[in-house]
Amino acid sequence: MSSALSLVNRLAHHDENILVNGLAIRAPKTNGVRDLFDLAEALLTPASIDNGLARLSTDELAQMAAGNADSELLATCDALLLGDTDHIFPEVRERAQHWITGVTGASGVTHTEPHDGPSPASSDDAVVALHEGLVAVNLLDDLLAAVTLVPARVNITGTLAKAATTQLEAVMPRSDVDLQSLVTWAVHTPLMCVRLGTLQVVSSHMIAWKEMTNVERWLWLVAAWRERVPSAGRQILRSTAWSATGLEAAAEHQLIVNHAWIMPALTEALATARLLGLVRGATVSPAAVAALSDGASDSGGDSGHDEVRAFAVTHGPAETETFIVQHDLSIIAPGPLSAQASARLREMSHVESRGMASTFRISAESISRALATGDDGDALLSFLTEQSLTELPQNLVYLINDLAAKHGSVRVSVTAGRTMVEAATDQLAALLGVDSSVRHLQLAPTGARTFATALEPGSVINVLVDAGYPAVTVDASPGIEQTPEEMPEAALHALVARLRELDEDIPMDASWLKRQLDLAIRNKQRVTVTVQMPDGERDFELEVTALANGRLRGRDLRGAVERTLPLAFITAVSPAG
Amino acid sequence: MPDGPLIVQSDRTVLLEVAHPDATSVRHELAVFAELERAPEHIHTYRITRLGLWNARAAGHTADEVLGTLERNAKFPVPSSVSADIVDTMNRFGRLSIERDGDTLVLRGDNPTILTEVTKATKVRDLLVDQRPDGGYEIAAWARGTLKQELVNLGWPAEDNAGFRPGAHKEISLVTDGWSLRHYQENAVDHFLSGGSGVVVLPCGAGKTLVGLGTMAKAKTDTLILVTNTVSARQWRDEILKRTNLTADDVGEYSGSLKEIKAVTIATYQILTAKRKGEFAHLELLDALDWGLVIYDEVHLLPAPVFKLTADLQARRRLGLTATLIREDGRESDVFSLIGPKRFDAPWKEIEAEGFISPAVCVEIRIDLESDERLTYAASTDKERYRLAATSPTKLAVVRKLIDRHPDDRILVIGQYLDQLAELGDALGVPEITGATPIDERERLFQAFRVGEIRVLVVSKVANFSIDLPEASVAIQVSGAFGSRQEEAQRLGRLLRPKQDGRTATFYTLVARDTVDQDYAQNRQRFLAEQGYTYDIVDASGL
Repeated sequence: MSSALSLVNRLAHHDENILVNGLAIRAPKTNGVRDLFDLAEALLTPASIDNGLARLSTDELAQMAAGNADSELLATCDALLLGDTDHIFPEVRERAQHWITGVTGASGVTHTEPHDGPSPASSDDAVVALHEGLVAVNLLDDLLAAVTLVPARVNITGTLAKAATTQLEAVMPRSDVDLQSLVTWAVHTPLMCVRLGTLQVVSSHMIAWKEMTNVERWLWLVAAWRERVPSAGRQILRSTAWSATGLEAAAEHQLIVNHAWIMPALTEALATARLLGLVRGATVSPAAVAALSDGASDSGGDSGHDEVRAFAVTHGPAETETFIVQHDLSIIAPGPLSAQASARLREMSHVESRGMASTFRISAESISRALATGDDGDALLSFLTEQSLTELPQNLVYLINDLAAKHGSVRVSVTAGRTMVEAATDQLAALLGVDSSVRHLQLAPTGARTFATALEPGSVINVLVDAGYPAVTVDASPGIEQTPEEMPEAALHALVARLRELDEDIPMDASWLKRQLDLAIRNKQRVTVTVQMPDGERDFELEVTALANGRLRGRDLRGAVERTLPLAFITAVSPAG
Repeated sequence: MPDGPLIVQSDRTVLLEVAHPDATSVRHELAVFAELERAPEHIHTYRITRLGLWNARAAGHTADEVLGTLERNAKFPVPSSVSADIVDTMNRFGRLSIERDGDTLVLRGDNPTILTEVTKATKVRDLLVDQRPDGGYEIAAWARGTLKQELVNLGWPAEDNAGFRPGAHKEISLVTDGWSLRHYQENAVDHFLSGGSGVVVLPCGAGKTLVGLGTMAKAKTDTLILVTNTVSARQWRDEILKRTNLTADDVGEYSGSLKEIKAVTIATYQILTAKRKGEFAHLELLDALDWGLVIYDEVHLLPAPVFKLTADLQARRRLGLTATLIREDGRESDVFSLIGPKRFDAPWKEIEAEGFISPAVCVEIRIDLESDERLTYAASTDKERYRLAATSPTKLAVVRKLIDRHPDDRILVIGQYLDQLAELGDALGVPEITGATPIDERERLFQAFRVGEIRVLVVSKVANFSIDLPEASVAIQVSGAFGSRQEEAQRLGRLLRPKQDGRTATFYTLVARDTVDQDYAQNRQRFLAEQGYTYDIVDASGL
């Protein structure tokens, strides 16, 4: 069976996710692809083959070129659509030989020299790095909370829009971690996704995330990070000892066909490793080494993963649930705060600073926000009283009680399609009627204390709250919206589905033959046609001229005669000698 | 890792646990390079800034010393990014220097690349005359201060080794009969003189004027003192005459009403910035004598034009005095460049604990506007709202109640709006002092207040600064300059002179509930709350 035909078989029957992944890597030209045959041909062009070979190390290319591919390499090639489980396509092997010869001449494969890079961390350094990684985990958690408050738009390039950056910076704690790096990390984990140009929290992950301790979150993020590092990348990181400077040279050495594709992944892997505290300055944490060891798997339960977990559990700092509340309305946890206490405090205050300590600031706005999400004054005071190591300042208690007493005095609801605003007292109603800051709501009185407006409730509540009214939406259901993840491979999935549907009912061999012959006619190509004769198979070398009514016509190159052959008896077609 | 009192955060803040046994000693080490940002009751927050680190370098401290302080005293490891930043920032100071070569000032650098980088910047190039054969650059005669400003902006602050003019000698000494400089005042003087120029930060009432006098007594040179207003100028004069060997013949006032130039001359910012036909009319004052020392009182209020003039005074020692480095215009780095680095500071509560300033309690009183006031307020524009809320007539009854509650106290009623103050003065039957009150009348009223002939004074913002009213023990703030934190601090400062009977001062702020008055009050209170003052909130109806 020819490579193309074999490939069409794989395309028709491969697991769709593996297929889409393979296609994404191989990046065949899909313009004008009408069926699986077109796709197979596109995949067998040198450019597309090279895209696949670029994922293989020099050692693997050498194995392939020498025809010594082991089962592991065959499986990799199958996933990359470079062969199937039994063999590698000749076209692919030819390209592998081309690259190996080009790089090594006839002498064989060179080996990557180890680079001077970060050295293994001392245990102290590794612990410090872990602690810094846990701080970054807290910041990531703050970001997840922030995007539920602030609509964070991203540009087409995936970077935060300028306005969104400003808005997010206003609600995020001060830190030396770049906001865009956090966003990129969150999207890759993927705790967040981009939907309709806006960052959204992925609720399915958030449910588990919220229940985890800080160390568990860190472990989860390490696993997610590892999963994103390509296998070739793991080797490169190991061989360069995680040196950013030696990275490109090592990648070039390791991936001779094309290393450019892996550089973004390696850069991202290093950046995230730094955030996680796996690499700190010039040293590499033992947790990093274990995480990228061959024994580590993403699902856990192996030596590498266990080693990472043991390291984090042993060296993670002791967490606290308590904090200090001060008269300037600041709250300071003078040590690592538990994830749950941190989340609770964030609901009622603004996070000002994140490090080994966390500092928060309570304001009228933050308390109003907490009340708006369903908290009540007593619950807030009770939490603060129980967890605070110091007596609550009088002004804080006053602030919470004052806001809680007024909360909900103005209620916004929808009745019969109209937005209604209801004041709890006559005085409030009178104020709403004359207040210049809410004039553009055009509140029309419908009763002694009720108004109607044409604006939608979300806008109305925002205007009222901005104007200082303790307004709430009736029947509001706060919380994270369920958001589907965006699927960047969606186009490829659609393509595969369309082509598979088209080719579903066509007998593979007949259609493939017809296609080969059509191509030969179009290209005036000489082909060898194998025909089943009563006495066995016989080859004809033809310059084919037409295919019609189930018959192939062409000039026999050996006999210099015109021949007409029934298509039903042709068993194979291949390029002539 | 030692269980020290510090936690170093990656955002360059440093938290100090006040209750830790080592807190006091560590605070002194920390103050060398970090700015005290907040000092509430339990945990103080310092910030490591570029200016702070350069201040430390200017004082001869190294990055290793700074890191040593942090590492020895931190509860958790110092974040690597902070360590790296400290080393990098401190290494930037002094790579460039301003040297004197005869009458010429020269910009030199220990690294040609840095020198080339900064001299390529247009704003720096314009301040230089020529490159010299030795690689240095001759600085335009007038540009010493401006050049320092620009180099700070570029992140390469220059060490100014060009020295100071000694100034004309003037024999000045303190007359310490029955008093002496307090230990922190002595420290402030010593730190300033060893550093050359710079700023001393002390709470209101902690005796900044005496720091000025102590400096004059050690510098022994003709001195120009720049102050915020004429009343303040006269208080300086009185203090000089009372506490030094100088006589009235030695001390001149250069203000709107008098134009005396003497060995010690006290001038107002206002007169320095006064213009005639578009030109500063009194510039000659700056060169009228060979000043060896220039003192800037309330340096946080230094008007922008005086900054420009100060750029020309770089050859003279400059002492800035202030209670807070917060400038509402954000020009803190100009103070660093043109006056000098911070040479000394002390937290308010620490000075209070030592008994050098009076303890004070702050109370915010929430007032409910009357229904018709509330409706008027709601119907008015944003521009009108603060004035309406701040000047609510409802406040009058509360002021009366508060005055009645303090029958034995000297009380200042402080406000922003003149018509409100006039109404209060009339209604309470007490004198008022505003900008329109003649200087002599102001002094007479202040003196009557000091000696107890007048128990209540209504004052406008003219009493915010530098007015020495040691017996005032209650202030009732009815309105202010919107959300100004430094004004709040200055107003509380009027109460902080220690009382003879040791009584606690009380600072009331009257705030109209659910109005912008309340929003501004929160902002105003932040500085003092961060200095450890507690604001209790009380409903007016509960008084």
